[in-house]
Amino acid sequence: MKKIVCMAFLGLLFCSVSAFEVHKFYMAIFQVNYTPEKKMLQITSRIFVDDLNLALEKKYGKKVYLGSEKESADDQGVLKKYFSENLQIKVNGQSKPVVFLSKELDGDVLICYCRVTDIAKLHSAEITNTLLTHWNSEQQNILHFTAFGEKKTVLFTSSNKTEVLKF
Amino acid sequence: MKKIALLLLLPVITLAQEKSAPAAPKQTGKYDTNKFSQMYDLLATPNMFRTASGAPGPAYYQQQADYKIDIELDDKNSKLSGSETVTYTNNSPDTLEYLWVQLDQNQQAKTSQSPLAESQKIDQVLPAEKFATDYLREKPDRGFHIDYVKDVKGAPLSYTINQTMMRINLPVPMKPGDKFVFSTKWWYNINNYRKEGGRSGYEVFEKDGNKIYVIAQFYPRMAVYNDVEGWQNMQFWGSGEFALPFGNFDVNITVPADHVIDATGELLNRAEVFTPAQVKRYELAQKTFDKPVVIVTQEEATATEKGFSDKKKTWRFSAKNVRDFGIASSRKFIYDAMAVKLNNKVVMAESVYPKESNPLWGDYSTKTVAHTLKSYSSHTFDYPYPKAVSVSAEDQGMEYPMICWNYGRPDENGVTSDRTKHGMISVIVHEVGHNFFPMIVNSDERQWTWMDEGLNSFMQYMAEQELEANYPSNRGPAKNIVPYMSGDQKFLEPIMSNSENIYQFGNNAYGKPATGLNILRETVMGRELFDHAFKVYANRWKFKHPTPEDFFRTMEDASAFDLDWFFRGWFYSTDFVDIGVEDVKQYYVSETATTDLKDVKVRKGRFGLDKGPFVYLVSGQNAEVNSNDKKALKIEDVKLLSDYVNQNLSADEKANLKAPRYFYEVTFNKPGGMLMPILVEITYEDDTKESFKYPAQIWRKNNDTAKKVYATAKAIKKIQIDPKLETADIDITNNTWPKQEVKSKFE
Repeated sequence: MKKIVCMAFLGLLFCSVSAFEVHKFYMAIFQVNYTPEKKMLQITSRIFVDDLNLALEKKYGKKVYLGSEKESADDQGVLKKYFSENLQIKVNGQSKPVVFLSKELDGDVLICYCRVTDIAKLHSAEITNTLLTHWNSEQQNILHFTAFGEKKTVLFTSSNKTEVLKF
Repeated sequence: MKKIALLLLLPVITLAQEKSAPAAPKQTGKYDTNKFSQMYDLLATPNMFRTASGAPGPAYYQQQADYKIDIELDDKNSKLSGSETVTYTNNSPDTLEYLWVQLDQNQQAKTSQSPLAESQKIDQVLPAEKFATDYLREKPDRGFHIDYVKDVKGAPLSYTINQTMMRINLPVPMKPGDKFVFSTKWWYNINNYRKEGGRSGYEVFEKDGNKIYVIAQFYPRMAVYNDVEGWQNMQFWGSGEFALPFGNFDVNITVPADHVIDATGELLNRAEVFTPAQVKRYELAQKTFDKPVVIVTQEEATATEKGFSDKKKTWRFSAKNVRDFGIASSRKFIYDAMAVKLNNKVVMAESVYPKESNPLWGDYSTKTVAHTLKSYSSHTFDYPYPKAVSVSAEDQGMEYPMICWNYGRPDENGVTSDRTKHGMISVIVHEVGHNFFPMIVNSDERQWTWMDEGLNSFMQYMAEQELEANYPSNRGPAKNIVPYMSGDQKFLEPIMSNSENIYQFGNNAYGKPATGLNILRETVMGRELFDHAFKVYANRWKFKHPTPEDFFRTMEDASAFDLDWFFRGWFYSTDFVDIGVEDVKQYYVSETATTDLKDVKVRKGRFGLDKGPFVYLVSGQNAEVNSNDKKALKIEDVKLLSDYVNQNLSADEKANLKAPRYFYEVTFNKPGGMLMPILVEITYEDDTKESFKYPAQIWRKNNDTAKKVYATAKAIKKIQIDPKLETADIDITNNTWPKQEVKSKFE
């Protein structure tokens, strides 16, 4: 566990080797919060929108314009489909639907909100995250999972698609 | 006198609380842990070199290193060879037995310790080329090959190389005031920085094999010797950049005749290296202030890059009072420039870039350089050098005096995304900005990355916002640092950590200090006090070597604003800000005492007791108070008060009488360790708003909670802390009363 976290931060470190580290680098940040009172997993994804558009284009063979004036309703449908195919969660061993709720643009980053409901108890979460990693082998998806006041961090890459967290 | 006043103010709580409590376990004592304690425990004792005010002291000194360098670039073999004569002046009061010279290229040598000191993991998916580099190919020959080190008469000098540093053993120790002249000759193979990494090297255009060279750390450079470190003695591991003395440079650069060069310093032989038409265009650029003039056109560059000249040309540059030297060279370069008017002088903004960078670079690069020079100069001092150059180098962002490498190009179809455009503008602002910190205000990057990166990121934020309202700045706004500061403490270090020992380099050394300065400027000190102090720091230390303490001390000294608490918390710890509203109690004015208030005595004078009658403010939560009593105050309904007003106040005072009707006691709590002013916005029943700002000193005696009383004419509907997200409060769910669900995106 610790090693993975170190790797994730090494990734950040690498990007910073020169004096200005907002280089073109391939990273998305996922925050998952478990709220027992709502029996819900709340998932916030932060993805560079230009990378996302390229990944969608590669996957579905069609130009996508998320986050720009040219964005169409069709693009939003493609985004939802993409999430459902590339972000999957099993809670306590059982597959649960990840519902895509909404998105908003923050600078160059598209923030997407998803949830998983009806989770009365949380013992384990098996997360498969292949967003963008199929498109670019350098893509790193860092996921912070907060439950019961504890933070766990895992890293998804093109060679590491699934992680299991136990509570 | 003061003491008596205090006694009077302590109403007779002690009398009221004379119940005997069960014996508590004995408490242990403690040292001073108050977060407002002055930083005597952290700062060095001021001395003749550096004063308590943060200014250079009467005995402040710095060394000087002057260079005469001849280099030649072998484009075909990507090899650089050179020789230099260094004149080193010992301005210190110390006798030096040896000199330390930096050999930064050795960080990429086969024998480098840097990769050995990195933890590794297996990459399970990798392109064949990476596999070949990692597992098949012999490591390429990198690092300096030193041919000789000689004294002024040509006699060899004894020297020892320890990794990235070379000690020259002096035959006779240098006394204070002595000059020592030595010369050295060297060569090295230039790295392909896009494959091997590095702050300099070359980029190759695969189609025709043309290269863009961005050359730096290319000569043996003197290390800094000063009053705080002695010789700069930490190796170049890769993250902590450079510590270099100032000096004058004369550099002759021999390259293929079809290359165009720009570099640190003034070009001495323009007429020899450019065509007469190009010289004319440059002269026009010197008089053109509104947009860049193209000096080497895209057509010219495109024609040049079709061949490879085997003739040579030598470019002569001279730079005064710089700490380093950088060079960009390619036959692909388009070159443009414009004049920039500062307060009292005119300087040149220039760019060199390949056709692949257009139209983006022609449109934005030089203009961004010009804007940066104006913005930074206005906050510090007029840019003292004659020019600033932006070089297009993919994947780079690196600064040298007067010249810097910047990434960002359109895609193959000539289309530039907003992210690339903003990235390119931001990196140019940032790297050109580095001329001020650390090229001129010359902090020690090897020890403290934040001193140049943090200050520069802060200046970058101001320059970006001045360029365009709501420019998408990554760093500066307080809310942007929240994800970092609320992160796992295992991966957080104080800003005051050495450059090599930081997990999240960008957040720690760029983002957090930039945000801290922005909070000081906008929220804690205000722009007027902050801007003056910051300017004093920049002017005190331009062309000198400041330490973090010189910065901290100057910011306080020039503003009369005690900031020890801020520096202690924000720079020396990983404390975060979290302030909340814990409780709001409403009180009602009454002439009848509730049981709990009956026995409360109020002191009168130093020894007496006031017999009453009293006005009572009773808590709405008191069971004895029924709903009829819970009404807004009208003075005329409370006889004691109306009598007092009638008998004691003048007509004038009566005319200006305040009319408070509602009374609240608000408890603020502070789950976060970092001190911060409390910013409160109150919304009244009629939706009007009022703001209050309590200085951080409100936490002096109680670090957990603080209370404030509000006597208002209108009922309070809502209390909001930090409504504009100015303080990097990491948890805003406790910032409102009545407690409000922060709008969830998940419902």
